[in-house]
Amino acid sequence: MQRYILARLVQALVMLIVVSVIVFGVARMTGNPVDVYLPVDVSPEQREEEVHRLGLDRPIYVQYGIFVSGLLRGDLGESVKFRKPVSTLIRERLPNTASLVLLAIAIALVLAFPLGIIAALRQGGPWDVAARVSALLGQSVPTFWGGIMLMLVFAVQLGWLPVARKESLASYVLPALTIALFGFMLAGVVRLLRTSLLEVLDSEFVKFARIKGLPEYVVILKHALRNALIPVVTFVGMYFGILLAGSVTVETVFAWPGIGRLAYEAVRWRDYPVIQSVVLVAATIIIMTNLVVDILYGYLDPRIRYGRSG
Amino acid sequence: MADESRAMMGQATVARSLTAGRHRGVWARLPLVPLLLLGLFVLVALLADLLALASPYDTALRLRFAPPFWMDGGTLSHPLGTDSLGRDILSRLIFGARISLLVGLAAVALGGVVGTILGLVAGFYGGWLDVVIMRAADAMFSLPTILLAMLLAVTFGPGLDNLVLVLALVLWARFARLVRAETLTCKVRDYVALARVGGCSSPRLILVHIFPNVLNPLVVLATLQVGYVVVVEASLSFLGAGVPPPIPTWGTMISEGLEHITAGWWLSVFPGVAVVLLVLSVNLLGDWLRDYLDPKRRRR
Repeated sequence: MQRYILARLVQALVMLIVVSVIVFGVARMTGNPVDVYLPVDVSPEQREEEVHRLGLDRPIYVQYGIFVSGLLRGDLGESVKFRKPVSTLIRERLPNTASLVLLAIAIALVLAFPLGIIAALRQGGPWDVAARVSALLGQSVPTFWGGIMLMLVFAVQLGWLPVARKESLASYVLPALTIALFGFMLAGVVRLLRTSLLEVLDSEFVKFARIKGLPEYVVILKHALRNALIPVVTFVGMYFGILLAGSVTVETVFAWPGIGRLAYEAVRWRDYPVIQSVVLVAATIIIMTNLVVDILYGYLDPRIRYGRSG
Repeated sequence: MADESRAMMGQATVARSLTAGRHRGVWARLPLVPLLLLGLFVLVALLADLLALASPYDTALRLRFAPPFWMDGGTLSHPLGTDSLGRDILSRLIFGARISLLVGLAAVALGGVVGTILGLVAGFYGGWLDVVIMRAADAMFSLPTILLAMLLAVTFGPGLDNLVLVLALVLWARFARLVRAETLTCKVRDYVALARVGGCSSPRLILVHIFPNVLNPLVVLATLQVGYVVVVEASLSFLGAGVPPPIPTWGTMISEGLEHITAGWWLSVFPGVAVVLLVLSVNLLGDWLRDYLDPKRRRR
């Protein structure tokens, strides 16, 4: 188990390094990174000064060293638009995104469990068909457009809910529903639960529980569901990071003050330090959640840690 | 000439019915609805200049927010209404189809070719090449697509060519991963060993003996990725990091519709419906191809 955890840790570290090299490299692909975010009318002396201040006149590996040591100290540079350290901006915005995504996951799970279980038990029935159609739609409807449609119906036409911005608890409803319904969360969990339940229901121990004469609901809820849960837990864990990063469009639609909206504003203002940091933070969160899920999975399923990856 | 080709086609039909099995009844089992929809989109995109009733760029401020023709105040000269600048929505939808399909196909082609080559090389040669290529692919998976594309849009400036490059940069990893896995299973087969004994060079082995066996899953992946790219392109254009205005794209149209959401629902509804229909038909076609090309699934 220790070897397994160590291997996963090393892998995550390598990924972090590769990601930092990519982000570092992108800024230098167009030439000098200061040109991306300094105003066009800056004087050559000022430009020279800025280049020297940021160490951009040093060799490339020294520059990378400066970049990484900044990251490790939590120094992500300063926002061109807000005139504030980027780390402060992200610390202000990240909780808004996290609470929204957690709520969306909760909604998706509450809806997905009954749907997934019924779909598996009544294979080919109307609920099964509904689950499959919703999965297909979840794949084809762009999340942000689904959000706009919800906004159009529930905020503009019916006036039940606020249109945008984070003002009260009611402001959470539409963006969270959007991510749950159209962010592939609901469809993904339903599909996964259905297939893994079908697989488990076919196994020997479920047959044995039935032969023992246990009531059907005990067989399903206690014996089958518990074992069908492992892949669902993995999916939700991995998806948390992806949703956190992928909430850009939804936050933009609902003017939600999270890191996604921050990224959108950064693109509008060509605020290079901000967009670069959001990418780095998002990638770090994804790598970390994957690491945690991998390790948890190793505990849950002994076959994995003794199997191929030792 | 025409008779000759018809005769040849006749022969082909006979041959097809004789070689029973694989090709029998393909035509009957084709997914008609997705194919027709997709054909419609392609046709409309190709013939945009002939079809579009009005120019997608012409503004008419007196005609702002004209509703679709079946509503009060709508006219048949703008069947799906007009936007905040009085531009014809149907015409912008038709020209938008061109952008969506162009970006989708170009990005998948570019990313697919690069990813396939890298995947073949990584799988076939192994060693440090494999490690470097696959670690880079892993990193692409942990970088969120839309955020990375936004970063690159800020760095290189918005534009159609940059957008295709960015999307290809994201896509290659998916192709590389699939092709590498398929190459690894092919590589150890007897026919590859035999060809090697027969004096076949490595590049020839890859091209003639391995690549054709990777083709089926590759085609399925490519089809499904076209749908994915269309959604990502719409998202990026919506965020202002895709194709810059005034070029009509479905994503920018949805973004303008959101800006004027209280003025008219048709501004944001129609371009979204177009995205959904295109992506849905591509996905259904991809699912069908997967079932058709995979012998294990087909028997069911």
